[in-house]
Amino acid sequence: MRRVLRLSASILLLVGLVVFPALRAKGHDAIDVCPPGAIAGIELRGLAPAITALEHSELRSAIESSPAFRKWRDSADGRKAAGGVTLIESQLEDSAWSILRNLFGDQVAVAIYPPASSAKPEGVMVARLADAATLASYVEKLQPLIDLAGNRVQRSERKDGGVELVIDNRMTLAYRGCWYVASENRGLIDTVFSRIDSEAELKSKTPHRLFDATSSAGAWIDLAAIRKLMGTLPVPQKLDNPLASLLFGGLARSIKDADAVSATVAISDRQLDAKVTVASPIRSQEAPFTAYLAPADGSRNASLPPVAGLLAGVTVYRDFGDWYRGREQLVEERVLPEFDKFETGLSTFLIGRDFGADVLPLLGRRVSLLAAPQTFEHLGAARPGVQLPAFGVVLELDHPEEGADLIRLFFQTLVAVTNLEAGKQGRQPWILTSQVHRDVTLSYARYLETPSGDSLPIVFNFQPSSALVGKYFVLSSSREFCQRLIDAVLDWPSPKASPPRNLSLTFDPAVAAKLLNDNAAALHANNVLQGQSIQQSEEQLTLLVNWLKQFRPLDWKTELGERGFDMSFSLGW
Amino acid sequence: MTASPLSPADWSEARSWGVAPAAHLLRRLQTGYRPEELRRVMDEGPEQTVDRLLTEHPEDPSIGPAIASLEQTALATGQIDSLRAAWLLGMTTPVNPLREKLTLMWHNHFATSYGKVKSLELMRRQIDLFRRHAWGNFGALLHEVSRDPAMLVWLDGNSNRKRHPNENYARELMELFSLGVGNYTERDIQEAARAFSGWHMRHGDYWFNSLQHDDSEKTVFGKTGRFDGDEVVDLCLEQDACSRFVASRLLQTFVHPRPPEEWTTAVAEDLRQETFELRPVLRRLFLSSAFFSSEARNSLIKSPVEFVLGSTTLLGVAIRWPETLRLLASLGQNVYEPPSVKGWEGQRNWVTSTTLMLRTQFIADLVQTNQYGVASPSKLLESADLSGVLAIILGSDSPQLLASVREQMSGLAKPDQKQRLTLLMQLPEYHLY
Amino acid sequence: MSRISRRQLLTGLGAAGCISFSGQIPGLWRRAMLDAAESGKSAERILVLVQLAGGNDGLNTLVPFTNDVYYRERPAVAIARDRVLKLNDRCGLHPAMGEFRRLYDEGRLAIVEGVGYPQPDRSHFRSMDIWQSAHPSATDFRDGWIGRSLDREFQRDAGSSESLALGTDRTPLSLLSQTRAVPAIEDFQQYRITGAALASGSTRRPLEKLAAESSGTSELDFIRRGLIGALETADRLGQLGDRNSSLEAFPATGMGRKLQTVAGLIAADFPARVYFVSLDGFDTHAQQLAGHQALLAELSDAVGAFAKELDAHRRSDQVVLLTFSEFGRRVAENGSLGTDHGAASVLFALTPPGHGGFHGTPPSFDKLDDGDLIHTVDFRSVYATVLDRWLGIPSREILAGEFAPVPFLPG
Repeated sequence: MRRVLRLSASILLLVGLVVFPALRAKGHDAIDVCPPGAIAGIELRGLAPAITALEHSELRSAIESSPAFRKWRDSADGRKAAGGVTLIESQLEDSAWSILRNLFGDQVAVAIYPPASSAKPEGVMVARLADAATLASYVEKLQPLIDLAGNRVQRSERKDGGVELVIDNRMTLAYRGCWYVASENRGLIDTVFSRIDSEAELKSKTPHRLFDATSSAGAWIDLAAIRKLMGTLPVPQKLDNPLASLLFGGLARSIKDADAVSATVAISDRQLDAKVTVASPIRSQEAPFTAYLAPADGSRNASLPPVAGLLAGVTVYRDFGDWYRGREQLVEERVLPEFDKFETGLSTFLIGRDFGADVLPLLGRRVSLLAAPQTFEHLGAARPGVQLPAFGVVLELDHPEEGADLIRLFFQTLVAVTNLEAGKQGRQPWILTSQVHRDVTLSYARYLETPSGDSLPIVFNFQPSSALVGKYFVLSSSREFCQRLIDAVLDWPSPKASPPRNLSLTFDPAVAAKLLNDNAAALHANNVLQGQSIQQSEEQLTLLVNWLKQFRPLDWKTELGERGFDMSFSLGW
Repeated sequence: MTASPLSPADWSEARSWGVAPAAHLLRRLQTGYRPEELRRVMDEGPEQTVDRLLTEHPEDPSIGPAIASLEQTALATGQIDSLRAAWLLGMTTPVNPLREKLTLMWHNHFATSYGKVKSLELMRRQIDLFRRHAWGNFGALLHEVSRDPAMLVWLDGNSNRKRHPNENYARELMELFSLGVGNYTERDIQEAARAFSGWHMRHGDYWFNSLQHDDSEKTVFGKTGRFDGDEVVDLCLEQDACSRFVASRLLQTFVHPRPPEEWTTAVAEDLRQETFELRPVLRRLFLSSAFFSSEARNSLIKSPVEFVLGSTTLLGVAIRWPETLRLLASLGQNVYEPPSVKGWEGQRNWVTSTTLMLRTQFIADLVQTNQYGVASPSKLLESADLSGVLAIILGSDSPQLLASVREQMSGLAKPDQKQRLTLLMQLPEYHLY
Repeated sequence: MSRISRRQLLTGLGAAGCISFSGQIPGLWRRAMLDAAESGKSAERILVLVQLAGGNDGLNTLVPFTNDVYYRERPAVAIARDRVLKLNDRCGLHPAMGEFRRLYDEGRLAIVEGVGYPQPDRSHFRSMDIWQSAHPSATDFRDGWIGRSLDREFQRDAGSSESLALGTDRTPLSLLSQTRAVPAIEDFQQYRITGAALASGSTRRPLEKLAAESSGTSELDFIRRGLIGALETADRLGQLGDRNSSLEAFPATGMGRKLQTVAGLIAADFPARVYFVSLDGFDTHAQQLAGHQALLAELSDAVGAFAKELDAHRRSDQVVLLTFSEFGRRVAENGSLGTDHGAASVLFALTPPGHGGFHGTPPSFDKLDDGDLIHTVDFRSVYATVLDRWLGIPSREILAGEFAPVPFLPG
């Protein structure tokens, strides 16, 4: 952290050194003046409005009032950083936000090149300012600070009319007009300036750059080139966590064969959209890796069931059978015994059935896991002391009737086992019963009696419910949520001819904030146990909740595009 | 004829009321205290202090919600440690410290363990019962305890049936709750057990199961009648042994581990006079010459709760409960789980080489690290000189002790305030009060 | 008490130049110092209980390699005849138990066969409670056989008869007392005093003086004596109990570390008379062979090192180590290459030299109780032997009855 701060402070300082007046109008884009042959690149463009929006946003005030930020601000590092900012602000006679906007608000590009002589890759940073005069005034005002640096900074005139500073005999910073360029390799800097002067139209050559008119930032890595340099990429073939393998195994595999990874970010004043593309020949992969891929025609898709007010939801499209059978190729050997334990554990609830042989073939390929706040209608006026959201699973079945029977068996055994345990501990047992909802039979467990009070044990969050809706089996921890899931499945639109989607995920911070508020007592209890006063705890919770409320739902999708995997991510505030 | 041990201590001599008796009173009546409280007691004098401590005050609004959230979460998650923290947090709050200390005394007297009851709700209700009757009427308390749901589970109330009487409750009622060994016969227990038959628990509450109640004649302590449980409790309360037994409990908790015979006799007599109303008896006891006598001073060994929470309160530590509760369990006092129906024998039984090591290490960690929470010692303690600190921490104004501590202090390489505190709180004297 | 404390002696020797440049005391010198230090060692007899939790398969521990029933009933999990470490012409130890074999050859390993109790219970929890409480008919287990024994012995001074459970966060029932708290220590580090103002000699001397002078019976005298004792113990542990300070190499296993700690505590005259350690994992229902072998090796190697360490400290005459488990396993193997809960089993004792050998009567394979061995020795007879002959505590009261001793300890 400290190093980053020092680095950014010195960048600010150096950037401010540029005194030269504008010689020519800006013409080229920053990324285009970078020398060709880069293996990775980053660019920022037109961030000024976003910086302004951030400066005035509620998000910023929420961040600044967050406990973590305040803790950092009061730490030695935080105070040092604040001191540095104040110094720069007073020296430049401008606010930090304005300085940031001026220096980085127009165009910045960084390009990395394969190592020539030294073992390390080399890079160059090129920045273009909207207004050369601002740069000149900054540098002038910073001159006293440069003088203070003594012989650590050596200044010389460039032949092309620019000025260059060599810092600690390593880093060179050169500036001219509205451009400043930094690199440890002076050859790169010379090339950049000669390209800046070029009258011809320059175009970035890399096919991996996906930057478009809406993008504010972008980055790409030429994996093929890196693979050529390194021999192989350090991406794990097998993951050591079954859940990670199920969710991200395909992604990890695609990166291994990928030509490039490219990302773009579009930032508006209320929204951030990020897109990552892994250019990889996924379709030519063989089993078991095909387990991760939705059909190419987009006919079956990992879309989320239409349920309003979700806390979080995820749908994955996977061939579970292929994945499970191919586990020896997909996960680390040392976690394989976990699968055996899982089968042994499951056999308690699926008496006389084998998971691989009897259960897997019945499953379809689409699974949704969902959570939403619950109404606790099953408790009347009573409430559990810790209020959990309702959880639900929507499971596609290839053989709905047989599959449903197995899951019912699982469900009933679970209730029976839980009842035995409840009896031992003096808890309320469950009674299996059913109702009809939109012509669908919904089985659920209810409590023998409705208890009273607002500190009921956690178990009262649960009213296990299940239903078979067409080829979907719906399981939920709450009857009311189960009904909503049945509605959602019945009203689930069949996927349009969209790109094949492997995963959809959503998370609503505002709903999380409400849940946190509903569970204030438990959070306070936890803080009090750690030595906080209730006042401190309440203050913290209020801040956290207000912070979360700034955000609109976050969405994440993984699709199969023309080039390979496309991941898109969006977050609003 | 000597004066009664319960005659009020005499403070007529000039300067006789001072830091030593004030600290003695405070240390005996509270689980812990802040240095400012000692100053206050010195200013108030004994009577006003005792009256204040024997009065119920409205709960502290800054602590109440913390306790409530701990209790709610404990009940929801089944974590007994949250319930422990809730109670102990209340014990360290200076609002009703004596009430909480008496509540802990009754928890020890009617020792019931979560280990068997297995219901946080019932345990909490039982502690609430002790709290309500902290300085109320012992007779009323004994009647209510006899039908307390946690007690019914603990001593097998539901298996006490008409044709299969279970003697567990009747035995402990006489042996441990009201009379003591040697003041009843096995026959008394068997007969009394029948009187409690049918005193069951249902849906978490006391329930008189008339079908399982043996309504026939019983003979207890030589009296015969168709007694029910309440009448047996009354018969116990009528015994002379009962007032002596309760008197011993009060004296051993507040005055002396082995009280002289005449002290017990005097308190027992007082209890009978007041028909077991505890508040006036406690008031007289706390102001008595016996209470302030030199035999009584520093004669009790601090329980782990008193030692640990007394230390955290003294230093103004915002307690980290998981570590603190683990330590209390290692030291042998895991509230809500007494080792048996006898409760904690306490006193010298608290002391083993392991517990002494753990206590000594705890002081070093408490003063010098944040392992048990962050300390914010009061100005009074920070600015006091050695004799001042000695007075605050050990309640002592003895010149000999001061000289001996000075000698020890000279062995410290860098005697800063933390080192001084560590040394003083590691002294043998600090284990006593 | 006028003798020089061992702490002072050791410190004195150290100051006299026995400490090498590295700050480590060279082994030779250290041994000499220890010899000097231990000339005044406590003569207290010590018992170390080793719980084998889960129900140890006695038949694969002490293998009846000439028994046809054994090989017939265990086609897959029997220990092959030629691999057994033969002790006599009837039975021998599991091949992983080389150290036990050595101890047996040295006459220090007592083997008691056929130990159990009437109407054996096959629940782990209840049977373990029965073994630990020594109350087979109880329904509510409130204290343990050691807890009751030491209660009886508890005297005026702190530390005269304590017990200690190591490597566990809960006091085991065996040690549980109805009157006193028995510490359970997860980590040896808890037996250090760091940052204590009382740790150094100059701050402690006045206190030591006061404690030495006071023969009083007040609570203050009681605490003073106890505190001095505790501080001295901590000092000795600080000097003797470092990771590398054991004289012998202990295996780097859980049991190795626990017994290393116990040996360190014993060498430091820690005032516990009974130590309790546990080795878990003996519930070998499936794929038994590899797992059981590892457990027996862990046990045997750790006990072997423990015995050597006691020898090095000249404490062998002072310590008895006794293993126990809640039950043995059935004679016949089950269908998943393991064995299920059984009844009578074998237990082992590390004794002072000269008392090893076979005791008890081998259980019959011809007459089984529903497939289980029938006990020939009541476990309370073993306890009675330990109480009466070793700890000097009359067993009758503790065990609520008379149990004939098993002569694996001097009478």
